[in-house]
Amino acid sequence: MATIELRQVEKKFGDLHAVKPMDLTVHDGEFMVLLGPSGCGKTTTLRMISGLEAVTGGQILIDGRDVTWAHPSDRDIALVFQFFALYPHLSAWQNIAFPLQAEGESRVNIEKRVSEVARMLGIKHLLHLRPKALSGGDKQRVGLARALVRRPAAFLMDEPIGALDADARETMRAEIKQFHLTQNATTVYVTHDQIEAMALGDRIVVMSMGVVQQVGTPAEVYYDPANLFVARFIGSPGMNLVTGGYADGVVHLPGSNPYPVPPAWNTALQREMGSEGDVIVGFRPEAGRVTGTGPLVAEVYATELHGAYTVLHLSLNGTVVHIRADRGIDYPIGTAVRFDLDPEIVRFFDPQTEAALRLPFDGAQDKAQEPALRRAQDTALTGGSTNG
Amino acid sequence: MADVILQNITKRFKTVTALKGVSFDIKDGEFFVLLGPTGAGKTTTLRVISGLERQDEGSVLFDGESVDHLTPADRDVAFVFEQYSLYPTMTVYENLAFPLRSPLRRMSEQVIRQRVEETAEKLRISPLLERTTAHLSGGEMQRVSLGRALVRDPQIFLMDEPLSNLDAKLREALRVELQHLQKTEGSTTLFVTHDQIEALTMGDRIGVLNKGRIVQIGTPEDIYDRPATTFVAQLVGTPRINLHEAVREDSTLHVTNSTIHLPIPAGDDLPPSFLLGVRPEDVQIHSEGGFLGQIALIEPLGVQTILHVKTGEQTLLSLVPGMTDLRVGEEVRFNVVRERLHYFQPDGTRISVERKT
Amino acid sequence: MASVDKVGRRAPIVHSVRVDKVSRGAQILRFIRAAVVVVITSIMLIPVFWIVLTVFKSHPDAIAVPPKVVFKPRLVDSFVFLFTDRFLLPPPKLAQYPDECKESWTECVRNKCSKPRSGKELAWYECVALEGGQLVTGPGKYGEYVINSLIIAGCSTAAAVVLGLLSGYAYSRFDMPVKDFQLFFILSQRFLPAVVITIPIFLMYKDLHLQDTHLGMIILYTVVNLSLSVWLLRSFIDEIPREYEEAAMVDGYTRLQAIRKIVLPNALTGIAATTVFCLIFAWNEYAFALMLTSDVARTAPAFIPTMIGRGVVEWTSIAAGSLVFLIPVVIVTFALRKYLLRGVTFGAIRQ
Ligand SMILES: Nc1ncnc2c1ncn2[C@@H]1O[C@H](COP(=O)(O)OP(=O)(O)OP(=O)(O)O)[C@@H](O)[C@H]1O
Ligand SMILES: Nc1ncnc2c1ncn2[C@@H]1O[C@H](COP(=O)(O)OP(=O)(O)OP(=O)(O)O)[C@@H](O)[C@H]1O
Ligand SMILES: [Mg+2]
Ligand SMILES: [Mg+2]
Repeated sequence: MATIELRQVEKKFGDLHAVKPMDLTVHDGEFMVLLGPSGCGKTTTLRMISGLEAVTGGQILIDGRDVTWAHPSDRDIALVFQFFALYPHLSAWQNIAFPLQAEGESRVNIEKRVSEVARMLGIKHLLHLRPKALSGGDKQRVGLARALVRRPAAFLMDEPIGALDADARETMRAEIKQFHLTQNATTVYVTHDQIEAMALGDRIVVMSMGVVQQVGTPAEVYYDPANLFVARFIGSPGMNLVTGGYADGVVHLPGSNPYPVPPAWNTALQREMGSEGDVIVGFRPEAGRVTGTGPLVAEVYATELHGAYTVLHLSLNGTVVHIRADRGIDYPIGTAVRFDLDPEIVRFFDPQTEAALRLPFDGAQDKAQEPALRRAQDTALTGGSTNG
Repeated sequence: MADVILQNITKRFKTVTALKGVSFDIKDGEFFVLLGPTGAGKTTTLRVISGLERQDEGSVLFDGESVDHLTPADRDVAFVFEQYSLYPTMTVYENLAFPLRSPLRRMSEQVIRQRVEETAEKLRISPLLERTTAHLSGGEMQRVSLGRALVRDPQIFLMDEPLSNLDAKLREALRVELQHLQKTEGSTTLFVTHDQIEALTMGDRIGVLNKGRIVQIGTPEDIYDRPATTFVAQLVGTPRINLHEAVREDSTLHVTNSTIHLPIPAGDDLPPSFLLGVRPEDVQIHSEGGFLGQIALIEPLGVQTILHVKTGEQTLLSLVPGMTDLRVGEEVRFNVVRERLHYFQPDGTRISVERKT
Repeated sequence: MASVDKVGRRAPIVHSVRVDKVSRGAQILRFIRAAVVVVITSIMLIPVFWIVLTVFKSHPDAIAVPPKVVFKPRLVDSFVFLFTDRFLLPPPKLAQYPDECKESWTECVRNKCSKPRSGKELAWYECVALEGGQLVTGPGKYGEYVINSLIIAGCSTAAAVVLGLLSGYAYSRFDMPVKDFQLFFILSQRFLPAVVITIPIFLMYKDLHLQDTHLGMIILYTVVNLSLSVWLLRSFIDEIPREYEEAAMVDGYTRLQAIRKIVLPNALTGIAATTVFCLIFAWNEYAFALMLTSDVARTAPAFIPTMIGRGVVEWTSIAAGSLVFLIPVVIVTFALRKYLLRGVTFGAIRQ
């Protein structure tokens, strides 16, 4: 297994700066996800690591060895595009063995590796079947097995499950994660789906327009987005971002909604803003709580049932924010709703630089995880009458 | 706007019967969602209503009158296709004006311009009017497609997965827009999708279609809380409902190959063996929980986390809010919410139980 | 990827630099490959180049052995010979013309030479002929035949494309009994080579009085081209999503209106490609034309070889004939090139 290190790696296509100089270290055994919208340079980065694309500048090191100009086949990596394209004329076994045969492995070794990976994915009993005879899920498992049967220093995967339907994607996501847990192979995984990134990644690299916006664990990018882009991109729906005028410990949100800043943030805001100025308040949908006494009032714009809960879309004088609410209460469009924000997970952003403001003492990271945990337990304790 | 009734629609193609006696009604001003997996016959249903396809049996009624003999043009419906509905050789304006320029309507250019501009305003695409459609982003294109339907004042809007080709962020945004628009304009809409989130979030009522048959019709709450079959139960809700074989032993219920033994809630009348469904949010991790399990996998999604909990031979999915500091391999105790258990016959149909609420 | 692709339209990825493609050796290899392509292309173009050279040679230069590459160009001679009927003046007759008229044709025009007997002033092309010792007796047949070619090829192409478009649409959109067999049957029109069926057609045309008529040739070429145009246009129309017309029909248009407003503009690529293919066939066709026409409807390809058989072989005017004959197809192809680049690949690279 291997570490991968990028030092000031960049890529230009003519005038287009597809990847701006970028530093990144993927540790041994780490599952690193490159996440970003279409065209942000994820695939290009991956192709540079694999050697299919020449870098314009910078250095790539695998296990400390400079491979910037090494041929792709000298890098001991496996590049995986999509899992499911099986050869219809070969049996599952032959399909899985195919990459090993291409590498000229010995017969014994092939036999061993194939049955190992098949056992791991629970498809041992299917190996003699042709793809036609396999169910959809088993087909994908065979595809996954073929992708993973090699034992390279690192796996590079470019949206391997992007073409599957939602259900299969969920299943395969778990399979990939399971496989990674047992194998611990260094993996760089490209996706534009933030849910997939959160679920799979040990760490996530959020990219936009060729620039790395933030590198962090799922919890970090979720609770402490480095800037507005990350705040919007992560989460479904993304973080609510509302601009308001800050003065004397109160942010005046649209629709004459004064929001008293949580005391912990007041000093940070004063340091950044002086006594007054514009600031962007950011909060996740679950930070909103409908209460009769909340300081904020907004009009219902639309409501959505999401199975176990409802998402309320509220219009603050034209700015629509989304908050979670319990099921069971009817919120007709146009009615006014009072709500409050959980002070623990409210964040603030500078409208000029778009960067997140930090608390004065650098305890933001611990803070991010704490409330979530507590909330998880709270709900468990209060949720319905449970058997025990 | 009209109310629309389908009576026993059957449609056969050469080798397959796409629709088998489909009946439902859409009330005036209602947002009706037709939900089903691929190949269920959703598109075929829309095509029969619009007249693009003629049914073999049954009839379609608009406002109580049969429209079976009418051509698509005369039925006066608006159709939003999954893709390809914009004409690449025309500008956005021309695309929007196209339905109004139909010889059936004889509108003056001035009225057309006014209608197009109003619609563009509503969908916030006014700045795009003079652009050719080839240079629009996915979201803009889909907005224009919706606009082509909205410029008219048809009997019913038929929408065939209009959001399915968009990326997640856009889909979320347009979902809200569409719902707001439909509610404020009070237009009758039949919306087809295979995405259960879209169905739950937007529909006034949902019809679940599978292999050409309607499986269940009801409000989103009905569909989610009281799925008529295991098929419906598995179709709605992410992550999927936990569905396991279970047996009744006197007054307790035992999930095969697991540690789960539950006293059967009073009044629940169950056969000796059946399928037990538990929604992941109803599997709750709790330090004093009644059952023991081991964490097999953790998928943090931000707002909530999916835990794969192994108990005996079975793996249950549990949905907990927020992030968690549990580790893979750790032992946990958990509970299931007894009031929200689902029981199904081995053949998949729901066993309904009386519950006092 | 699929879902992303459909949405995010961006510029296609044109080229990509691979690590194994930047070394010095790889660059040299690339250069060599390009050079080979250029050389092969040049070899292919040599015959055309030679035709052009021959057009501007004098008759002795054209038949000189060894062939001449450097010579004194004669700009108009071969064209004049091509479009006129002439006979060689016997020496006594030739002697009646003053010397300054025979020296060179430009002199002849400047001196306003005239015919010795009638005193009629010589036109410039008569001067050109005189320089070669010949007298123009009238316009040649070639011009007429080129016009025949234009009429026959043009009309049959138009007919083939229009009919092909209509039936291609029908085959693409409607279910009909034994559709596959019908399509196969249509294609079978092309199975037999022309030489095999000319005799039966000749006999048939004789009875129908279609032999050596424009109409006969137009019908014949249309039929032969139709199989190609139906197949080509059907596959092009297959690629136009039927949702386009269906949307129009739901919006209140009839099928024909929908075809005119939606299908036609989107099928332009296919129409252009089909037009060029049909035109090239009808324009170049030789076997049928030779057998079924004699004079009224004779086309240029059938005529050019017959020029060889008339007294002295005038290679320069044959070359000129060939050159003139190339021009219309080149013009049409060039005019439609922007459609063709996509069309000729049979839709393979269309998105
Ligand atoms: N070979 C190339 N030549 C020119 N431009 C390129 C090339 N490859 C990529 N690009 C451009 O570089 C940018 C980044 O492309 P890249 O494929 O890395 O995006 P991505 O993040 O993988 O997007 P997606 O999610 O759509 O796959 C894009 O603007 C793309 O058009
Ligand atoms: N024109 C046709 N000819 C033959 N079979 C057809 C035709 N149209 C649809 N079918 C078949 O009818 C069945 C239902 O198709 P339909 O397009 O209605 O499904 P759908 O629910 O819209 O699926 P999707 O989610 O994939 O769009 C499928 O088995 C399909 O193959
Ligand atoms: Mg990519
Ligand atoms: Mg469909």
